[in-house]
Amino acid sequence: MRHALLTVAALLASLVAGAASAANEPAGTAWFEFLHVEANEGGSSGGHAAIRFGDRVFHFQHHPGGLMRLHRESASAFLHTYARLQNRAVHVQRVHVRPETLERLRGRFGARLVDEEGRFARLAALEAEEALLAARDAGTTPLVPVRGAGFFAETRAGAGPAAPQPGASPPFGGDAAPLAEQAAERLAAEVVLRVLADAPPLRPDVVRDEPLDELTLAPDERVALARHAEALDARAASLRTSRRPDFGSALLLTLARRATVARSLEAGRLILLDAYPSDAQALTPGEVRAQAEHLPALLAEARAELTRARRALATAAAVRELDLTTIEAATNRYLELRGAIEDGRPLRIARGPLLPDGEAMLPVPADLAAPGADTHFAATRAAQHAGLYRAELRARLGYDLLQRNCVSEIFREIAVALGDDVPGGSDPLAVETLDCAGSTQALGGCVDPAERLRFIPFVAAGAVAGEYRVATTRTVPSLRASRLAEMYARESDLLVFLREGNVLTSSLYRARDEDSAFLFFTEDAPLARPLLGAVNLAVGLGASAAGVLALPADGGALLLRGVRGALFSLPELAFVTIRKGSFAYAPREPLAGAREAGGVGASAPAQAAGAAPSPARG
Amino acid sequence: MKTHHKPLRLAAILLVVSAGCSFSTSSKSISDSISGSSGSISDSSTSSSPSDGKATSEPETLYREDVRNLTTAWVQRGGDLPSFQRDLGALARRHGIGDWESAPATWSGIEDGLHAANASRAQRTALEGALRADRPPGAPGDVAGEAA
Repeated sequence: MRHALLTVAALLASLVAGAASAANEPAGTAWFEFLHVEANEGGSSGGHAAIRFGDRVFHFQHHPGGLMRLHRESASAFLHTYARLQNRAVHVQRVHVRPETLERLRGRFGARLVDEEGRFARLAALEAEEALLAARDAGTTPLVPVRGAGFFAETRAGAGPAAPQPGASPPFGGDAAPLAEQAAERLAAEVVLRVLADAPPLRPDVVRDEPLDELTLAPDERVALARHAEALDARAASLRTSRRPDFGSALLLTLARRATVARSLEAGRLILLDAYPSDAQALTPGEVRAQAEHLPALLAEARAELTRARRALATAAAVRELDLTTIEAATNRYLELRGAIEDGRPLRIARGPLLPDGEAMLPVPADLAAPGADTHFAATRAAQHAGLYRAELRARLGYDLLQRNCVSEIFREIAVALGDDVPGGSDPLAVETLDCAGSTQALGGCVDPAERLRFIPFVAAGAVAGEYRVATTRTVPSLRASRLAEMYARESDLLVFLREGNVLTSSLYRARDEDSAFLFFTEDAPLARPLLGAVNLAVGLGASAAGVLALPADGGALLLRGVRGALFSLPELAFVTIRKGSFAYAPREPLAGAREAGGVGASAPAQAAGAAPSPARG
Repeated sequence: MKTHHKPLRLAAILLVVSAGCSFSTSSKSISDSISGSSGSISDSSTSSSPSDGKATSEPETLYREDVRNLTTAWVQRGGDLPSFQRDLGALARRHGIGDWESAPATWSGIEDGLHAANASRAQRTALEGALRADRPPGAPGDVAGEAA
């Protein structure tokens, strides 16, 4: 309750700050923002950087395998993750630009995102082909995942896929698609032909059907679903004659959704497909119980999300697929949480849109699996192709602390976008040298990450202030900092400092396995930082020693926390705080700045909770 | 004070900075159980698309822009139609769309992409001819109908 009140206060403060900023910025002003995220232990002890256009934030992350990948998130999701859950202040610098400059920048980042995703999809397809041919070479029957083949009872419980029907298969193939992809498309086509012929029921385990009052359909929702059923019938008819290579999987999904809509109308409540991907991670019942204090709030948020999603049924003239996907996702997440809380089931977790995949592993057709070629030669060649493609990706996207990191890639993209070369050229990744001319002309300067340690996020933030024409700056405080500020405003400073300065008595922070072992928060005590850091160092070393003893029991978890605790105490001895603690949960109230109105290309003013706008330094 | 400690602070940060930028890990946080991100469809805000002024959802706008970028790259790089359709299908699924043919934003995005790539009449006609048969009723105007 106390936290909820504080949260509401922070939100009101942010709205006031946002309104103030809006008054200072001409309507229609185009801008982008450079975001510098302070360091914390864990994901990015060197800090992080991002660029924001309107409601979208682009940032590069270091992935397992040593590759850098571009990500796009909504501004509210980005700030929720970094400022709240990861408890790191985000320093924001807004740069006013001409609309055409904004378009070039935004277009460049968007094009790179699509290009990268395509390249990684290509790599996955080549690796699947490599695995398929290796299995064939080893004398085993290769299996491929087939989207949609697991929706209906017959396809997995039956005796295997039927033989292709002459003339019934679509005109796919004959192109350069990897073998595994061709096989999956053909198998999906075969499965859907059988489903159309036999009309088997949906498998029980792919359906979310729970007799809950909150899933009861209102009259207008029934009308909307009835209309949607007709639309799905029409789409199914079109897909039967479609020439697209993946028509089989698309048709299976359409038929499966049509079946759930029919069941919903019959039962008078929402019955939907299970939308979690087959490889979704899951928290065990024990892990869920350990988070018991957050579960009521999470369930309330999930219920609210479901209510919002269902508005499309009541208000939209026609339910579109995106509407249905939103409802499916919200229902699935709500039921998953409810089942974990009330029935002690594991809790599956998946970020982003949830689209039912109905995936099943099916054996590759013999004529594709063994076309008569030298199996060993084919397997070797597929491995070489995949290896070459991996190497090419690593050469272009490989993480390098000094030369290609989350900072350098942002400035490289800015320079390319504003250079003479038109954004979205034939190969967006083939950029080796930085041409600063366009950036200097459009932004007033150029940040070359190769110069003067500018590959470090906080140094780069200083360079942005020095090089670009920054209009305003502000800081989105970390979750702990914003709540502490509210406490200081209401309570005795000394009491708050003593109570909240350590992990044992803090009312805001609970020690987590994801955080290192430490005792004192040193962020709020700059002068005493070395002394408190020394205590933290001792705690880390002590935890390490205890971790050695606990090794057989906990698999090294305490030892790791202890070692990390000692490591991240060392900078504190030199007055530097990196470790700030993190949170498993924070209310997902809208952060101002994620919802903005007006503006050109981007939008008018952005503010985040507690953000304090100020004029630029220069 | 600040000046005095600056070299020390920089050295300390460099000591730990070797861990580098944000590292992507497969999330197992309970916070991720309730909502999506990454341009998620769960964020169903509505905004005004600068290009056409029609009310559209942010996820739909994102999807349309991605289709535009995919189409532009396809025209510039060249490639066969099935590959384009496969890439389009994969892109749509990442946005929560299983049937890209039925999404009006797909066709708007293709039109935008052809326009952005300055596609020739022949390229437009080829693509339109190949895709026309499957276009759902009520989809935006012909791909080939736009002026080059």
